[in-house]
Amino acid sequence: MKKTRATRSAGFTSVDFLFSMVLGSGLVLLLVALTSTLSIIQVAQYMAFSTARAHAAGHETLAQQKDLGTQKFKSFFDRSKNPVLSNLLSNEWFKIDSNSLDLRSGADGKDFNAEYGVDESKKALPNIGVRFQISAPVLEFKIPFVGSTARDQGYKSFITGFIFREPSSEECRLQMKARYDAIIRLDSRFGRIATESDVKPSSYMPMEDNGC
Amino acid sequence: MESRKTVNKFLIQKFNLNSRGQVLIETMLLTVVLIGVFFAISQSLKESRVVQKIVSEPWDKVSGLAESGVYSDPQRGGKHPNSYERFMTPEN
Repeated sequence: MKKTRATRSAGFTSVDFLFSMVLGSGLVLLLVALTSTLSIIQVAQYMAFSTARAHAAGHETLAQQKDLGTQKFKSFFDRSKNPVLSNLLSNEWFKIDSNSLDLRSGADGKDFNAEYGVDESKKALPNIGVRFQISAPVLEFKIPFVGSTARDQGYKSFITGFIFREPSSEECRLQMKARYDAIIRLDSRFGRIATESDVKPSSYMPMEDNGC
Repeated sequence: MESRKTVNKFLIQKFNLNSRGQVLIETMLLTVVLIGVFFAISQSLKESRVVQKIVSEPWDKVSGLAESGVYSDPQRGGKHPNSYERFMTPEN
């Protein structure tokens, strides 16, 4: 049978190829977006752990411990200190707000127990450390003919780093003073030794190996 | 029977009736139908948000994994392991 213009199939493969390429590249893009998001999440988890570690280490005061944690977190966004990370975190694919750090130290009554369903009646250790949010706009895109992956609430996740904080020197001294006062109150003789004038001040000096 | 053949021959000659172009017409009709089916499927996929579900449903679990190491949606009961009740058995 002689092929006419209507029955010729030349070019059919090209059309088929173009069509499948569009769908195929859409799915490949989806996989690339997912895997790169997982990689960035891992980087963000390192940031959370690093920040929590800086905050957890002992320091003179609680405020200084918090300040160390905050400084560490902000250093990731500083181009001079972290040229690679800062670029990764400030593009249109992934977003971490440098002001989004939620740092809860426990000592001031703030922790993450309510957020993570900790039953405080069971005297579990408090969840203290850091938390911040990462969003992945890279996951929101359109695949031709089949729709968009975007959703109203976006693609966000919290990243957490919970490390139990060491007490600051200030907290340690306050705690040791309270302990010392409680010991002194155990017996009236202790109080006299510690405070009264019938014992020479030079003959009694409290000395505690408290590590503060 | 002969008269019917004669009538058919007359009609073919008179009104130029032949089957040329039939393939073209059928191809056009099939194309319209196929394009219609294609767009119907496409619209159906968009309305049912299939692609969105491909990403969002695993994401909810992965976000739980990223947040607290538990492969479960944090909004649906995925708890941080710190909230588990633990017991300790001291050695005697």
